[in-house]
Amino acid sequence: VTTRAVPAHGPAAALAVAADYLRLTKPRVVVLLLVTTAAAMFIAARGVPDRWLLLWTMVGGYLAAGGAGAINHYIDRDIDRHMGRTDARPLVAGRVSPVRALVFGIVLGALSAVVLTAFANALAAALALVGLALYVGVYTLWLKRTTFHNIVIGGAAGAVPPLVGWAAVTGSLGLEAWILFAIIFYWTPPHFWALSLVLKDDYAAAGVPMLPVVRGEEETRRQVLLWSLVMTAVSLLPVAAGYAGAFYMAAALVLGGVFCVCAWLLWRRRGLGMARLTFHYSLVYLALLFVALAVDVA
Amino acid sequence: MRDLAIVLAIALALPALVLIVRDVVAAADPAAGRADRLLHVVWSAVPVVLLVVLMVLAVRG
Repeated sequence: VTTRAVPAHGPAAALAVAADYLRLTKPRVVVLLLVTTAAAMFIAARGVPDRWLLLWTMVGGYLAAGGAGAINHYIDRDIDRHMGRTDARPLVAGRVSPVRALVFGIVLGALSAVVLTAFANALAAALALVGLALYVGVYTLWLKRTTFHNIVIGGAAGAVPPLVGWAAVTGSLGLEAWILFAIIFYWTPPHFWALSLVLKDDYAAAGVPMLPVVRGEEETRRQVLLWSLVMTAVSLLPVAAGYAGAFYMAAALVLGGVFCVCAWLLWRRRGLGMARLTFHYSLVYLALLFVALAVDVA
Repeated sequence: MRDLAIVLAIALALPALVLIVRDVVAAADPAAGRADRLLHVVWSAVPVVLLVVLMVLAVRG
């Protein structure tokens, strides 16, 4: 566990506290989710959506995902202390009390419902809460500590943001929206399993049954490759469904091709460096894929 | 363009999906209780069913 000295009073102390609460919302993860929400809104609007609707949907989306992140910090504080990646988190380091983190997360979730209902619509608000419930209830509380399917099924929580964006613009959900959901759903396993290869020892120490812990590194590398192929296939569904064109198809094939090459090299046992590269590329992949689809359709 | 996307999507997904299903079936724990075995089947089936349904709907347009 690492700690850092902060002044007890004054602006610096206030900033340090604010930074810790911001950390509870997992801002780096949430920003990627918001890219998919925004892209879905451009696609649903077939152009630039209403600016205020876009802004408030981003705010509501951040509050919902950030609230889920804060509640996740609260629930996982016992295992976070066993992992190098998480042992400096505000709760583990004692800078934020568990109860305050839990209340903070619940308040953010409630605020997201208020903001989305007031400035978008009830469906968008309900979907944001469904995403929060999936992340907290299904992934964090149930599957994460019980089965190696945790990432596959839990990935549904991270796939909800484009549904929120779509619903905010159209007030409904159609096939196009569910295809966006599926792109993230099938992207999540190869994305996260690449990271879990790097963190295998941490997960083992914390008793979390991630795929590399339960079925070994070799099997995980193989699954990353197989799921990368499925993910690339799913990324072509917007064209197959007839709502995206040549530009997006070329982008999906190039981006997916690079992903599969990374996964192939990872499978060929190129060490943890390849796992790190695959993980970092997967973040770029998802953002660029959604931007490409938004550019093509909008 | 649309036909090419459909062919590529099926060609990429089908072999990988077959191998994933085979691996998941092989990973079932025979010593697990009935409820755990049932959950294993359910969790394994979700991504397969979702993909098949989406592909059928996408192809039907």
